[in-house]
Amino acid sequence: MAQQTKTPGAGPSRPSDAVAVGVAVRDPSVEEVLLALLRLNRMQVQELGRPLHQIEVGPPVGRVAVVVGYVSSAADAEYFDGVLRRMGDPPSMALIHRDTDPAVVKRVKKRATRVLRLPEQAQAIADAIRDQLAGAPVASRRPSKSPVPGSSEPR
Amino acid sequence: MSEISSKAIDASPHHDDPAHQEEPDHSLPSELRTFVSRPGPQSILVRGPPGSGKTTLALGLLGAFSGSRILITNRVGQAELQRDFRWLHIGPAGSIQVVDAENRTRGLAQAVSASHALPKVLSQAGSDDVAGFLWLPEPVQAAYASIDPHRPGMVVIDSWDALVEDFMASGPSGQRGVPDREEVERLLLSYMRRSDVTLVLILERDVQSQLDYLVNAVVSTDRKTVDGRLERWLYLHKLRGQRIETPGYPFSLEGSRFESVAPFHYGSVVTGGPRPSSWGGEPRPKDLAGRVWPGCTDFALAFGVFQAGTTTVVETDSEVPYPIIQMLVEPAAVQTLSAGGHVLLIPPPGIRPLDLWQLFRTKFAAEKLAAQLRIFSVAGAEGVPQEAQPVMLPLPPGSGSRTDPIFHTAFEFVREGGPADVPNVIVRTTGGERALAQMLGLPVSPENFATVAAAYVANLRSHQIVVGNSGDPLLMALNDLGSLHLQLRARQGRYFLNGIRPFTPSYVVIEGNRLCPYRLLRMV
Repeated sequence: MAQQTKTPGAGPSRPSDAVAVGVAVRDPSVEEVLLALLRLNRMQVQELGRPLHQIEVGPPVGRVAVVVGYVSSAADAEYFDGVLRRMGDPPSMALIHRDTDPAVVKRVKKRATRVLRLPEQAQAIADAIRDQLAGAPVASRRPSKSPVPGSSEPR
Repeated sequence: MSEISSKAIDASPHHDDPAHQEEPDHSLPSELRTFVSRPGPQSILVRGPPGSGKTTLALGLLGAFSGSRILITNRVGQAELQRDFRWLHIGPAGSIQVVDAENRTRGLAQAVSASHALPKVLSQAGSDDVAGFLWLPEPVQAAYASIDPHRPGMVVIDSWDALVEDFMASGPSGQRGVPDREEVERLLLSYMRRSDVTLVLILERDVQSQLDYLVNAVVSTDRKTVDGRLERWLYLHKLRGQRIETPGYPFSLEGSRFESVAPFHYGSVVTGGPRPSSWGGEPRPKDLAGRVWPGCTDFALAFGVFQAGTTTVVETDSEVPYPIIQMLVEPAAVQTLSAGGHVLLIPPPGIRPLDLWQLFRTKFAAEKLAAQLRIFSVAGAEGVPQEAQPVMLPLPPGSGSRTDPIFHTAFEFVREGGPADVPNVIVRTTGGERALAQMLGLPVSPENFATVAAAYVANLRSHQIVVGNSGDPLLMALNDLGSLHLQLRARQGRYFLNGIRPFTPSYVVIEGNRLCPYRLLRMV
């Protein structure tokens, strides 16, 4: 579970950068890895209630910039899909394990704004999330395109 | 001795007093201030038993730091911090980020699981960095994420013991591939050193560990009771690259602030050097009938005001130099002279009467001193300029002569006094009186010393201050007479003042301001 970081009011941080990231990961150990990776890349994480986390310090925000999911099974995909629906289909990024059933992969690629095949280098994952945070429109999914095989696949 | 409350005194407490506000902030030892102002990364270990002041010291370090500041705490909640340490500006308008580590749920067991899950997410290349990061307690990870790598920062972990022990408690430490506490500490320092960060680790016990060798600085706090009075000391064990001038600092937590006390440089304050000419004692309260204003609010708040017709006994240890005593009594003498009262001084034999006269001459005209001040000393009036001659009580030539006329003159001077409502002040030292008695061939015994003391205040228009070394029989003879019994001790260049009767906490004498040559810092 993510650590709650309390930052009352204006601090040394950049409140205007505050955005929320949903982490739709069923496996707590993988969630742990993802959160560590974000923090190691100087992205602050606040728990706003599972599966929502806020990245960067600032007052809690109501908007979700991106939902990051981890998919290695049909159950994961189901969970990811449920979270997206519950949150009003915000932009999303699916981290798909390489051993995942192709049918599940196909389903996820249709659903996610962007996909990333795992395992991947830590920096690449952090950069992808950063890019997504920087560029993703809030709460509106872009039209689907065919995914490009590889490590990072914008759609 | 009269009790006096802060409300009854016109003069404001230090922090509201403009004269005090002019003073630079010396709350942290100069060595420590310099150390934390150096470019990072730095690491400081603060260790000490519970209640010894570690948290307040760490908050003092945070308060003095000008970069971004993060406090990881599992001991004091944010509400308590806001309430008890208002000066720290934690809150809506604050600039210190607080990471509340109290409700953490993630421990070593979760880190082990996460490390097993690493290959699911990360390719081998570059995963070591994340793998090492996983072994840090989550609040530390959160603080690391909050650090702006382009700006100096300070991270305080209070306490590291509690945090790491809680983290390790979920086990399984000691298994292959699972770090032990020492390895976690190495990782902590390694990650924090990636930025210009000063890391402050608080340990809840004063024992050496490998951290002593890994960090750049080690300090410890101690809390002890001396004769039923609290004393706190900060010890500087190691400040890498920084010379430690003074290894030990007494400190107080008065007002929930850390305030350390540097060695008292009485030489520059009292015995020459730059001496503010405006010292005249802080303003007297309006209603002081029959009482003597001690000249400094701190003294009045600690011990009350001097009562006419009574005696104050000040016992000192042999390491207390007379200028410190002089500094404490001078404001009362100045106040008395200002109000028109008479002042009689009997200094110890090593003090030149001319030096004392010159101290008062910086504030008063020679004519006023001639009328209101007398100095009775074995040094006599030799070499004293003409205008100072009336102040000196000259001894008759030769030794062994009867001295009744001289003592009579002194008594008469006190008895005459000034205005009826202004008490006189007599400052006697047992050393000075012994020397006088010896030179004059007079017997000196505890009994006749007490008799003379009683005679000085018999007219109820004088307050007498008698100073002597602890254990001096002359001083002990005044036990029944002294309404206020103070003790002045020298400890590592500092001077502790406390009341034996009535019992008071210890106060440390610190440098004063233009109104009063000293301040008293209560040991709390």
